[in-house]
Amino acid sequence: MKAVMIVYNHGITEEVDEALNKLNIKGFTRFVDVHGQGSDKGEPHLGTHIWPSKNAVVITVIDDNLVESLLEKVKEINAEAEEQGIHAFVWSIEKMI
Amino acid sequence: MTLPEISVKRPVLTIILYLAIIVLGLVSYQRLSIDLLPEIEIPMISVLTSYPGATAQDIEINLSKKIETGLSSVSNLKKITSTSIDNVSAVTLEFEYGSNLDEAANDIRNALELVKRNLPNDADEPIIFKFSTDMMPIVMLGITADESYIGLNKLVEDKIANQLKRLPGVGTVQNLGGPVRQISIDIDPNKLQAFNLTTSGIGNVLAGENLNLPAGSIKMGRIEYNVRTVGEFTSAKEMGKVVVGQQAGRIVYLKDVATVRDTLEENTRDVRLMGGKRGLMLMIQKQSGANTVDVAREVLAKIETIKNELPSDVSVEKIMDSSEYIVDSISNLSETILYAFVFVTIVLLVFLRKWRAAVIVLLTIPVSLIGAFVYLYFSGNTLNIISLSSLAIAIGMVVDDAIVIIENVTRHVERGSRPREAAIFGSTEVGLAVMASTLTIVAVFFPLVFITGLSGILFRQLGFMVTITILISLFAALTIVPMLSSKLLASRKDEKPIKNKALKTIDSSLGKMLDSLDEFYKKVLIWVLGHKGTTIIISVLIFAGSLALIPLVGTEFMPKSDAASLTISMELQSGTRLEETSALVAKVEDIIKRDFPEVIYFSGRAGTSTKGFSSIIIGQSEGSNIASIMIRTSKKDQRERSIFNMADSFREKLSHIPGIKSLTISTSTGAAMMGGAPIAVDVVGQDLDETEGIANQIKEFMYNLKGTRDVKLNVTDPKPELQVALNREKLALNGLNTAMVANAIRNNIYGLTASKYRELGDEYNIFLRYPPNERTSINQIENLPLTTPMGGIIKLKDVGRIVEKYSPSEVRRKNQERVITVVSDIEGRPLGDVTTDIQNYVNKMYIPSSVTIEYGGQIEQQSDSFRDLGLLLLLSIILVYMVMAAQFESFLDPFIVMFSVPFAFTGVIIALLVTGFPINIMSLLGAVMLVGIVVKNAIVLVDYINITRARNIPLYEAIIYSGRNRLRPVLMTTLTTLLGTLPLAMSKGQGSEMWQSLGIATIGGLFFSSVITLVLVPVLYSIFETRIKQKKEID
Repeated sequence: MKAVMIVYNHGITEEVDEALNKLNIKGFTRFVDVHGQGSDKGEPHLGTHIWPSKNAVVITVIDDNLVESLLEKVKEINAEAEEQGIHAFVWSIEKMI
Repeated sequence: MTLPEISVKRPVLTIILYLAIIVLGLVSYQRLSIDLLPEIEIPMISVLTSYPGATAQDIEINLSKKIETGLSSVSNLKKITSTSIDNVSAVTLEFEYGSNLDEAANDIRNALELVKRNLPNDADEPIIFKFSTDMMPIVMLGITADESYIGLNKLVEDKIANQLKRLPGVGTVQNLGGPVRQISIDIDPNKLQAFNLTTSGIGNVLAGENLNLPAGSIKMGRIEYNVRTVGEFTSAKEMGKVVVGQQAGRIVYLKDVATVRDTLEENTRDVRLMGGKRGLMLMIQKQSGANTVDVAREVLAKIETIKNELPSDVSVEKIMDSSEYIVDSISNLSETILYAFVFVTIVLLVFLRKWRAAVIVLLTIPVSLIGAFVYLYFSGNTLNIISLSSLAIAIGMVVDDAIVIIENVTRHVERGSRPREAAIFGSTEVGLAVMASTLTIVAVFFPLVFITGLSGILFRQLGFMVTITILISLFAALTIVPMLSSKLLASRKDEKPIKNKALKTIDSSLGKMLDSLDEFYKKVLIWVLGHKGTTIIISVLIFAGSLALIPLVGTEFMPKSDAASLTISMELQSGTRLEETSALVAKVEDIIKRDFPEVIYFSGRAGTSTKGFSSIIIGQSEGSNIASIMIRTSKKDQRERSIFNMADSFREKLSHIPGIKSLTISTSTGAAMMGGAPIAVDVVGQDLDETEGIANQIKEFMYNLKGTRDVKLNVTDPKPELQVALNREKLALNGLNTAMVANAIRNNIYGLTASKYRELGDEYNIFLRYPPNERTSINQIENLPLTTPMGGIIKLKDVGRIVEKYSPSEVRRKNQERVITVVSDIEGRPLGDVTTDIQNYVNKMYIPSSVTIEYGGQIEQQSDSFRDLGLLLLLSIILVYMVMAAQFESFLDPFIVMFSVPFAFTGVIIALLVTGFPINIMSLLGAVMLVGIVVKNAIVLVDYINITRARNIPLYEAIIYSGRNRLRPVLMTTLTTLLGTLPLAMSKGQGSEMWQSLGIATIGGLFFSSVITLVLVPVLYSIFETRIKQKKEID
């Protein structure tokens, strides 16, 4: 099992939802109205007057074999709307209750 | 959940809300009445008291003075004036506009209770009279007839007046100058003497003969009969056969001593329609609270149907229709709103270059404007010039919020968001900023609600209207705009390139044009940032220069409107007889017919009405030497000369006619009338000779002053009078007393109504008097026969003599002192300039300490309103600063932004100077509004520079980048407002004078301040920010 955390501009929530749906991923946890900024490029998402946009985060724990296709989808979304900003991070799940 | 999110997720709810506002608005609109201005209650109450037999001076001392003193403590009182004429005192109390008049009337009633004890016993009970605009006739009809003239009065009464009275909202219907049938008995004084008869004796005989009397009933057999004596005359001829006396055993019939004629009453008033046609005038007043336009429409529609039932020689024409000007003005104004809508559409299409986005933004216009009708309806207001002008001004501003929203949403879409999400998040992100900028506009318009006085009544509505419209537009921008964006905007993927070749060319060339504009502005910015000193000096020079131009722009209270009607009032030598006056009217009528083809209908009036009581309150004078001609011309856009040119031409032409002592040509209607005469200089002082001398001196100066018209004193000349002075000893010797002689004289000169002649249910007077040719000289009066109780006959000259005298006909007072007012109209020169000249002259004059000079009329109104608006301007500047400081979280940034405000005034001054319009309350209002509108541009610019700098871009680059980036939104919002008000400034139709100066001021101010803002504000920003940075570094 792997945990995939997708951090994205809240403007592309629908696209992320669709990606999860297509892969039949049912379980996820979403954090909305989160702030953050990238290390080298892209706009910060701070929900302020200066940087008004915000991020959302989806964490989903999925089978290892689904990870690649999910990352593929994230890449597609990024290609479609690069300026909005989307990142995915993957790490291993050691235990689950 | 935020508003945009709710509305995007529940589109049906949003649409229903939107439709609900529109439906409610349309229903309200349909029920709204039309009027020229918001309802204005004239804050005046008069106390009328009559004291029969007292002269003007007696009235002043015994009534006016005492009542004034008694009422001077009434609360909220602004001014107390009085007019004392023979027999009548009128004390008028003027209150502040907006005072509660019912309360005031109660106060007056209480105060009068105390005063009454000091009034002369013979004086009648004082009457409290509330003046209202409802007293003005709303429609006047001229009815002429040829063969039917004799019976015209009855015809009009039965067929027209009675039917009109039944219409809802119609108050009274009065006819003026119609023929009144009367049985005239002209008594020959010589025969009367020969037969030893008196007029009153004959009157008694006629009254005694003209009688039907029921005498009970008797029963005969099975039938009961009513018994009745029948003596009433059935024809005028029959009256001639009445026996009036006996002489030497012979019976004397009435026809032996008098001529009996079934004829018309002798006129004390001459009404002439269309140059001498015989007929009458019908004045229709509305009920209090009824709507002028509604009532006039019904009356005129009814007249159309009645016309068919009238004999063919009777014609009915409109002399005056006060609703016509209102309807025309409102429809012209509505037209300008439509044009404004078209212009705004074009601006949006050019700048957005996406029809879907443009349509979404445009949809906020109807909902905001129509929504305002709901407010109008529920607050009981009408559709009037002020409420519609507010909409015309608002039309360019209501799109601003929507533009900002749609811009951010489009940006998200262009970056790859789907429309639905772009709509939600794009709107939410800028929602707060949009609300803050709306607040600045509200900060300017809402304080209008606090203005008092006459201008307060006008501008309160504007304040509410714009505030409400802008708030609705904010709501629409946060709901319907995101919702429609989510549905209508195409995402980046789905967007199709433009296929139509022509459209493509237009699109790309527009794009190039806007790009090169951006580039140009960038170059300008680089230049000015390199030449900060020069830029500031030039700006200061421009501002100072415009201030120096202020004296060249005139001032006035309200624009004069060309309402396609004018009234010529003429006064001849005091005491001139009616026939002479009428002859003069005829001469003027010839001039009208010959030289004024623009005139559609005119009607003349001369002489006195029987109901002259109300005329002293309105300030009109009546007399056999006074005549007026009402003229209705074709509409403003259908003729070459304006009413004012025509008035001048009349003045020039009438100055050649000998006999006219004073001439007034009034062109004012509606709004301008409320301020009273444009110029009124009150000379206040107890000694009438002294004040009159000074008043005449001022009058002389004003007469020769450029720009004044119809200068005159408002006191009428003393009237010539023939007084009969009786010798009491001689009276007593003859067994007579004053009352007996006075009655005899009255019966013969004025006449005696002996009885009524009845025919077909109507009654006509049987009127005895000397024939006209026996009432033409002092000699004839001296020889008037008087019958002594002993039966002898003596002449009037045996017991008294006749003296010719002049008696002052009126005394006016203001704030408990005698006053003579010099009044004048103005033309071709602004009120402010003329006033300054007069004030300079008066200041140099020698004025004794017992006399003071005060300025009334529109001068007073003007200085009151200008002061109010000045305070308002200060208030809105402070409020705008406060709103901005809160928004920027800084005291410095709003200060920089405020630098765009002075240049708005520069623009106003230059625009007014170029177009030749004076400063009046409408253009000042424009200036006040500009404060809110122009700072908006600077806010957008400064805010974006702040944002850019916060994103770690150095000052210089941040300014250039933001300037280039914000040019389009600034231009777009400016152009929508500018082009929205352009139709106001350009309109030429009926009523446009009222809003033209508003439009011109707004356009000038907006244009100038926008240009300056775009150049000066970045420079100031860079200077202030650099200083602060340096200071921080030193610290």
